[in-house]
Amino acid sequence: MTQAAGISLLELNQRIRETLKSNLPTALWVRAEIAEFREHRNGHCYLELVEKDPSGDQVVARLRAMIWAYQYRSIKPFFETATGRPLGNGIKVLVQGVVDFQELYGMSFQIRNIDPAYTLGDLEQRRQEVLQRLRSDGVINMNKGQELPLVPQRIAVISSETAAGYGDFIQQLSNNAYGLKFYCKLFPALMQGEQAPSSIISALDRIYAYEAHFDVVVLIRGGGAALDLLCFDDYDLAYHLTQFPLPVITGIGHDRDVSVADMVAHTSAKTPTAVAEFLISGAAAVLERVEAAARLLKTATREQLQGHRQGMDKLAYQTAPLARRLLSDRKYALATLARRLPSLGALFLQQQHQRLMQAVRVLQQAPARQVADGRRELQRASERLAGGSRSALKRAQEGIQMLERANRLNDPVEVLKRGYSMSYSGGKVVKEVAGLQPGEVLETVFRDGRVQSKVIEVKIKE
Amino acid sequence: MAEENLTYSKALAEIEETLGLMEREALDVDDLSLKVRRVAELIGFCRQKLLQTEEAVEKVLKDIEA
Repeated sequence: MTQAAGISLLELNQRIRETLKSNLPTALWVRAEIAEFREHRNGHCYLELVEKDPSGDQVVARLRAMIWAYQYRSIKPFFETATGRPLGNGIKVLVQGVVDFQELYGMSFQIRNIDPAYTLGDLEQRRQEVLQRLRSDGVINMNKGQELPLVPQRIAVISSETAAGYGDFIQQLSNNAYGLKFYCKLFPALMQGEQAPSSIISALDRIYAYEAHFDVVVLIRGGGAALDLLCFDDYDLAYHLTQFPLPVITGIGHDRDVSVADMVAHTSAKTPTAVAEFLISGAAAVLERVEAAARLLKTATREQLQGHRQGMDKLAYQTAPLARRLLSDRKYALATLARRLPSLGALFLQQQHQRLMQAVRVLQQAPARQVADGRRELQRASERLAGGSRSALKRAQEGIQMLERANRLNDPVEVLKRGYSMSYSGGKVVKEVAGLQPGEVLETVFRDGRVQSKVIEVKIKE
Repeated sequence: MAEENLTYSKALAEIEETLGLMEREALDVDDLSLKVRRVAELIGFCRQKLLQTEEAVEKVLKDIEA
């Protein structure tokens, strides 16, 4: 064999084909990542499989692959049902197939089977990595710390305008059974595919500029058939959600795994409709509290007023008899006093009279004794005078004069001058009315004379 | 009611506190009418805010560029 003659390309490719056939005779399971993914309208599926180095930056292996239409028709729903995700770029797969080499088209891996468990495990692992990163950043629960107002009414909605889920949400909110008012503003974003995270982040930035005008951000997925929720496990999107200054409610519409976005959100609901229900029921609960308060206010006010009125009536009811009793008590006390007054007066007069008579008796004896004392004093004084003590004599004379003055004042005549009088009956002083008879003649001594009078009536004080 | 910063939470708290006092009959009759008027006002505020459209809010949101 000369160098110049060589072999034809076809011969080379035929040899490659033979070599592959003999060395890779049966179907193999291969782990790889889907780098390109295209469904042809003839029903076949064309892919580019790659393997990256552990850092994920460098592609270290690459191979074209395809799934024949008749197989793709069963592989596609099988994979989607099992994983809840469509086949697509960025997904790691474990696929079974054979290496096919055709002289004209080169090498291709023909996929016949797929193991969804591997993809699920990988996605879960990636999710866990994202969560772990958010945890170690210390941000994972930050949006849950945002205060959700009692009634979030001003709602910034991130969704895609044409999406059924968005329509459902708006419909549900505005037609709520309680007539509750909500204000929604749509901030459109892509809700699936590789561009979704950055598109949603940009919507968040636009809302941030009007933060003060909103109570809450609602992130709802467009709905439709697409199953691609991978974008909601994105680290950057999750990070932005955790940092957002308003509480975020998600309604992404999953029925399998909870996405990272759901996990970091303030509140997550399964569907847009469920988010609307959540908002409505919260506001309805407040409305019910308000209505209950209104009812309570009515009855409590009525009861209180009635209570006060009854209290007043009772008071009025009690006051009249009380006042009457009080008055009659006073009246009675007054009457008693009035009845006692004459006898009190008489008693007083009688006491005064007795004291007077006592004084008279004392006086009748005292002056004589005092005069005698005075004489003796005078005697002594004149004796002392004999001894030359004029002053003693004078003192004695003054003493006598004083005593004579006192004597005069206590003289019954002097007493009579002060308005008292004395009555005699049968030559005896009358000291009490008991024993007097009507018609009896009394002689009464006044200061300046005497009168005779006749007793007309005798009243004895009780 | 032109009260700034009145929120549902604040309004409800005040409403329910006053009603509590009324139920315990801890209000005297002079305070009663004042408090009743206040609670009625707060209830009106909540109802209105829950059920009536606020043109101002609608306008602000309409003017925001999404």
